[in-house]
Parts: sequence; structure tokens; C-alpha cells
Amino acid sequence: MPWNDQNNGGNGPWGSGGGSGGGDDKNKSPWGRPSGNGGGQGPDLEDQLRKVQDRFKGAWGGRNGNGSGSGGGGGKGLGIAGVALLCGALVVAWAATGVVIVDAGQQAAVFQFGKWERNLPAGIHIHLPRPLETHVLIPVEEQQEVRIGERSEESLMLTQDENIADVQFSVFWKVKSDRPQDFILNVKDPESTVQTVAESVMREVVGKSELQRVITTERAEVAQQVREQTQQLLDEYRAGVDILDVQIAKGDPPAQVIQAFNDVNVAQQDAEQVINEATRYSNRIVPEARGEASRILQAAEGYRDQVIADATGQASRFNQIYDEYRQAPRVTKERMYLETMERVLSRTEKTILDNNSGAVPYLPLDRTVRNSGN
Amino acid sequence: MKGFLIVFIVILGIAGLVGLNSFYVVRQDQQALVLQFGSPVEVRNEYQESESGQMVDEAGLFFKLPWEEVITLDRKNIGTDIPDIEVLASDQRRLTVDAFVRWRIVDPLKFYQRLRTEIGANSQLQRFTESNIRDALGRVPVPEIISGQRASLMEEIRLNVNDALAGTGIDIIDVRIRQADLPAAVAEGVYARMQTERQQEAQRIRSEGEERARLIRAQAERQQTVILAEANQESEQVRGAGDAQRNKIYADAYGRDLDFFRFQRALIACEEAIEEGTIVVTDPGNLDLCQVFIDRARVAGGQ
Repeated sequence: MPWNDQNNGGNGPWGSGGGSGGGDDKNKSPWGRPSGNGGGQGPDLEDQLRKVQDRFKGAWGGRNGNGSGSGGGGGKGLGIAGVALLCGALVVAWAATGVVIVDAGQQAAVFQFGKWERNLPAGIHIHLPRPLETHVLIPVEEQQEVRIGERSEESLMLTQDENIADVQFSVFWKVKSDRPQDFILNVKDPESTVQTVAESVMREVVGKSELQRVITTERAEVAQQVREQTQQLLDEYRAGVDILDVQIAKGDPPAQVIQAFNDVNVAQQDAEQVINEATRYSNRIVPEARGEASRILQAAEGYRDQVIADATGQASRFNQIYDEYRQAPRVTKERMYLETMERVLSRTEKTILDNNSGAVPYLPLDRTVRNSGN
Repeated sequence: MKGFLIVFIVILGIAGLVGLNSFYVVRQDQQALVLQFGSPVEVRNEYQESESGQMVDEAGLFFKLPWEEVITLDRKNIGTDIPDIEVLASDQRRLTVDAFVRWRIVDPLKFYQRLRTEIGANSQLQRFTESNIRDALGRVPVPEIISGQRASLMEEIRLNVNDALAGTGIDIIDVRIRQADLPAAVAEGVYARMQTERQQEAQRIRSEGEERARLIRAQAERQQTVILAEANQESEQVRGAGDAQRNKIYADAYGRDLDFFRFQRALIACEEAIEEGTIVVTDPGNLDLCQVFIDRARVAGGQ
């Protein structure tokens, strides 16, 4: 709203317009603000500008004359040089549209009138200026990650045995570095294409596997298959995408039933535990039985050795006595008898009662009891 | 002079305008249809593949008459989502299917005449794909959709959609079923079944563990019994051998004089039988205690 500029002072967009590029002049001209007016509203700014412009008099002379009044034709000689210089600047600026700086990890695809011509590696390069040639910078080395299955309805998949698996996975990919132009030319919205294709492949692969395998043993295999098939499909689309890796972050039974699945693991632990206890019992009683067997055998052998030793001892004792006896049978027999009786009677408590005496037998019962109690 | 300048500028302007309108650029990812007052003149950079399967590119800068109109269409592989189709499989079970179609404009003229824009194409694609998916999946049972024939079903749907849209200048590159899920109520049933299956499995594992444990215990106990029985058997043999040896020793020794043996052995027995401190109550005539042993031994020996 240029007509409000008076209130705004020199802050309005047009206040500094005198010094800006030629393009602005066109916009400015409809309101045909004379320079005198402009000077009135922002004298300081105008003065500054004028000083700057004076310095570049050669270059800006013609422009200045244009701007200060439509009727003014002053400085026409300077104007030609100025126009030449301006043209030169424009040519340089135009040529600069042909300069391309390619970052490390990028390639620039150069198009000539929209047709792909060549790829430029990292570094600074020049191609024909716009619109003859244009370029698109493509990150060919940067690894991209698509995560699939973070929303719950996205992660639940039917398996071959008609169970439901909860699978979350990531696809790592990058632009093919040998044909990066494919990435921008052949497939619309390649990023989301990678995602939808990978998701459909994952569901197909999971649909051909059994739940138990998906969540345990075949995880790596599933990931590998998804990687290969996704790559194959994207190659058919000529998407210019390299699938680097597919990683299954989570392959579980659904949350609703995970308790029951965990209980199976617990059951395995329980079974192990019961078996271990039984084995412990077995490991206790069998060696104990062997020990007991050894004890029994040892006892038996001890008994055998003992009775043999006893017998041998007694036999030898008998033999000795017998030799003696043979020499004097009666004497020896009587002596033996008497000696034995002597030993026996000497260590007994005797109560000798005469049956014929008629005395009341008195038994020392207290001593009897005491002895039998011992 | 002034008038001449104005005329010059106007002519220059017109010439510039004509010049600019005489050229057009077709980008490599686009195809262009040139129309002259609505009637088709030519098609540029139409999608086609060479015999070796490479794409034939015709992009670049082209000349046209200034009044000719250029319609630019996409040449890329375009994806269209087909969300949430309820399918009734041949085994009367329901599935919620979610698919996507990959397609491409191969005949810009037909496409422009029949569908005009990609938005128009999308709605047609959705309608035809949806009905074809319903048809194809309705002929097979659920297990075939989930795993068995998935790939061939998708190919069949692709061909059918391609036929249905044959006149529209569209080529269906691929139809892929993304999700094929059971409706929520059925899924609950699946969860319940999975749960009971797992519970059965857990019970089986526990019971098998118990079975194994009992077997181990029983085997151990059997071993224990056998070991002890064998030990007892051997023990008895050893004891018997000992006894036999003893008897032989005795027999050898005592056989020399049975009577004296009896006498001597009775004395030993008597001595051992009557211990230290034994209380003997007797009358004076019966004090020769050991005579009883000797007599008894003689009686037992049958003499």
C-alpha cells in the first residue's frame, strides 16, 4: 500500500526502492512517485542513497536518471556504458546459473531442456546456464530409514497358520549411485513407494510363514526375503533405489496374547525345573544306594572274616588244649572244669540256700532289680 | 519518431510472444500432448520401452505453432492407494483388504480424452481395482489369499484392471495387496484361539516335564532297589561262605575228639553265659553250674 507510505516514513518497501534492482522500478512506476516526494518523506535515507549512488555514478547514472523523473533524459552518454555494464552483469549472473556445487555424497543430474544428459560427481562444475541446462542434486550416499509398523494396525499381520503376528521393521535404503537419475525420473513419490512396497512384501512373506517361525527362528530369513523381493519390485519399477537392509525390530505375538506365549516359556522353565529336581533326587538316591550296598557287602565280608577268624582262633585254642589233654586226659579235664567253675563262680553274686534247712528264702530283690536294670 | 518507436516496441513484443509460444520443453519425466484448438496434433516423449527393455527418451526442446496448446502429463510410475475393501472369501469369511496400484500413462491422448487428470484416473482406478479385488478374492478361501495364491491373485487382478481400463491410456504395472486382515471381531476370535493354543502347549510342556521327572524318579528308585537287592544277595553269599568256612574249620578241629570238644566248648559257653555279677541263687548241691552245659551238649549230640 504505497499511498500509506507518508505515515510510515522511510520504512515502507518503496522508500529504499530507489537503490534496489531494476525489477522493482517497474512495480514502482505505476504510482509514479517523483523523487522530490521521496526526498521529503525520508531525507536521511535518500541522502545516504544518493551518496552511494554518486559513488557508482558510472554504473547507476542511467538508472538514476530514470528513477528521478520520467521526463528527465540526463546522462545519456553515461547510460550507454551503464547499460553495457548492466548487460555484462546480467550475462555473468545468467552464466552463474550454470555453476553447480555438488556436495560429498551427492550427485547432480544435468538436464538439457528437461532431457537427462549426464551426472556430475562431487565438486564444482559448470553446465550451460538456465534454461538450456538445469540440474538436480541427488543425495546418493545418504542412508534413509523407513520405519513400518509403529502404528498398531500397521504392525499386525496374518500368518500362514492364521495367527496374527505383531511385526515392526525398518527398511534402510539409498539412491542407486550408478543411476541416480532413475530416482527422480521414474517413480512418483519414491520415498513412500519404498514404504508401501516393503510393507506389502513383508505381509506377503509373513503370510507364507508360520507364526512360531516369524517370532523365533526365521526372523533373519524373513528380513532377507523382504529385502530381496522389495529390491526386485523396485527394480521392476526402475525406482533407482538400493535396499541396503531390512531389520525386524519386533516380531512378537500380539499384545493381547503375549501373556499366553510367555507362559509357554515359563512352562518350559517349569518343566526343566521339575526334571532337574527329579534328576537331583535320582543323583541322591542312586549313589546312596550304592554306598549302602557297599556297606552291606563290607558288613558281610566283615562278618565272614570275623567268623572265620573266630573259628580259626577257637580251633587253634582247641587244638592246643587237645594236645595237652591227650597227654593226661583225666587230669586235664578235671583241671579245666575246676578252673572254669572257679572263674565263673568268682564273679557271680551267690546266694546259696539249703533246701533242707527250712529257712525262709530271702532274695535280695533290690540287687536283682538293679542288676537286671543295667 | 516517437510513433515509430512505439510501433517497433509493439512489434518486438508480439514477436517475442510468438517466439516464446513457438517452443516448449518436455521434461524427461513428462509426456506432452499438443492440441490445436482441441484437436490432437502430436504426442511427445510418449512412454515406450525399446526391445531391450530400456525406456525410450524423447525429451527436450520442441517447436510448435504459437496457438497450439501443450498438455503436460506425468510419465512416472504412479501409486494409488485402494483403502479398506471388505472382501467375502469363498469360505464365507470376511477380510479387510488394503491394496495399492502402480500405474502409468502410456497413451497421453486417450488419457486426456477419457480421464483428463490424475485425479480422474485415481477415482476410476479405485473403482475398478476395488471391484476386481472383490471378484478375485471372492473366488478363493481365506488361506489362499493369505499365503497360497497371493502372487497369482495379484497378477490376475492386475490383468483384469488393465483390461477394464484398456481404453483409457493407462497401463497397470502392478496391483499389490498390502494388508489382508481379519475384521476386528474375527481377530478377537483368533486371539482367543491363539491363547488357548498356547495354554495347551504350556500344559503339554509342563505335563511332559512331569512325565519325564517321574520317569527319572522311578528309574532311580528301581536302580536303588536293584543295587540294594544285589548287595544283599552278595552279602548273604559272603556270609554263607564265611559260615561254611567256619563250620569246616570247626569240623576239622573238633572232629579229632568229639567228646572232648563238647566238654571244652560247654565250658566256654558256660563261662560266657554267666557274666560278671550274675546273681546265682542255688542250693549247695547244685553249685557246679557248668555241668548243666556239659550235660545238655551231650544230650544235643545224641549221646
